[in-house]
Amino acid sequence: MTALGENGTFRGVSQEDALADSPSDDPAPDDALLEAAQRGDRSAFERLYERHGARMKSIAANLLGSVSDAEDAVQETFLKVHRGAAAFRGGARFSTWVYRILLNSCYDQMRRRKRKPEMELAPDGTPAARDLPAAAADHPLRLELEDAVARLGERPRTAFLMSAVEGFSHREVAEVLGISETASRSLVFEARRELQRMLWRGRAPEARA
Amino acid sequence: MSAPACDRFDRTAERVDPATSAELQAHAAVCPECRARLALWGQIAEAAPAMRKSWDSPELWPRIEREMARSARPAAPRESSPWLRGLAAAAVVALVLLSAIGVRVFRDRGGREPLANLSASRNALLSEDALHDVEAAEEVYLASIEKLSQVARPRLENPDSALAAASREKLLVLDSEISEMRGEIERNRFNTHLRKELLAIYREKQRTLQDLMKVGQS
Repeated sequence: MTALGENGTFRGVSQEDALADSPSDDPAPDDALLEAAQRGDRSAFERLYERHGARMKSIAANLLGSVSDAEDAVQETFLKVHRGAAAFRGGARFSTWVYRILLNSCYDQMRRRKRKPEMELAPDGTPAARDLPAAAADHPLRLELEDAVARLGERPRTAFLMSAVEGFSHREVAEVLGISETASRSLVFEARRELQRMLWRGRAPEARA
Repeated sequence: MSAPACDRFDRTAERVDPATSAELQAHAAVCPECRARLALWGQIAEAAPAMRKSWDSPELWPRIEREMARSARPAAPRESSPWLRGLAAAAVVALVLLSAIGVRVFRDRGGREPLANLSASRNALLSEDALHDVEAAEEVYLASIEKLSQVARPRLENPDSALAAASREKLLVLDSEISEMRGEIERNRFNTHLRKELLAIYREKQRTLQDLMKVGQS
């Protein structure tokens, strides 16, 4: 029997700080790299990109559903970081700041798309995010789950993607979204509950039991 | 699915703790439907990490780097054809007209947000003076936001809550966008679209500061 996660968290998904510096071999903390970038060291920006770019692309692809839109959002984020780096004085972690900018860029794109629905009809030749192979081991429920996640509200969807998909802790989700940890837990629980409802409704009665 | 037990299963599943988890699992052991739903709950957690996306983007960083370099360079004057210059002149005339309409609307409303409600405008002016008026109105609006920023500064410099910290970061981003937009406007003073975008960012800044101050007072 499947074990239930406690308080809306996910067993099997790391709740360590996903935003913690240096998951790679690069020993320099983000803040040191940002300081170097503020002094005009372009390679420091590149190291920040190497460190965070893959996860940023993944979040953006799941929010926007398109590879090229995700890359545009990541590009826009780094350009804003580049322009705002001189004014960034710490107080929050660099990663918190950069993921917040990314989410705002994604939300902006989604709003622009709503205003210009015809843009969605123009294929740009790049694959849709759902057609990409899974980064980790695939799961038979993935495509169905992706369709359901796309139907969630903006906030629960973002919290679910960050926590359940990307492995951010609730503290990190809270920092990025500017909410409390309790609110983050509630959002993720709400998202998971809604997903369960959607997936359950989509199942044939004989497949339910 | 036995109704009272299954209803309880639904309600308690809203907030699962270790004690109720054992109770739920005991019920699921004897109820096939709840067992399937419980399994689905777990499968969502198992399937979620498979949603992570990974693909190579060898062109992305070079593209970002090029844009960074481009935005760091001052814009170079470009040669254009007579046809393009004519088109640009026509566009400028159209934009001046729009600016003048905006100023008229602004004056009629006696408000502080120029260029709002364009469709209600009439008797448009067409002159350099119109642009001057827009810029003057903007200055007044910006000065009032600047005053608000000064009031909020102590809370922003020593953020005492998640909201204050989040507001500070948001304001940094907005200031960066404002700076970028002002640069664009410097190069194209008659572009009403850019001015409207700039005003939208200022409005967002105003809202952010007001929200911060409201929380500070409550």
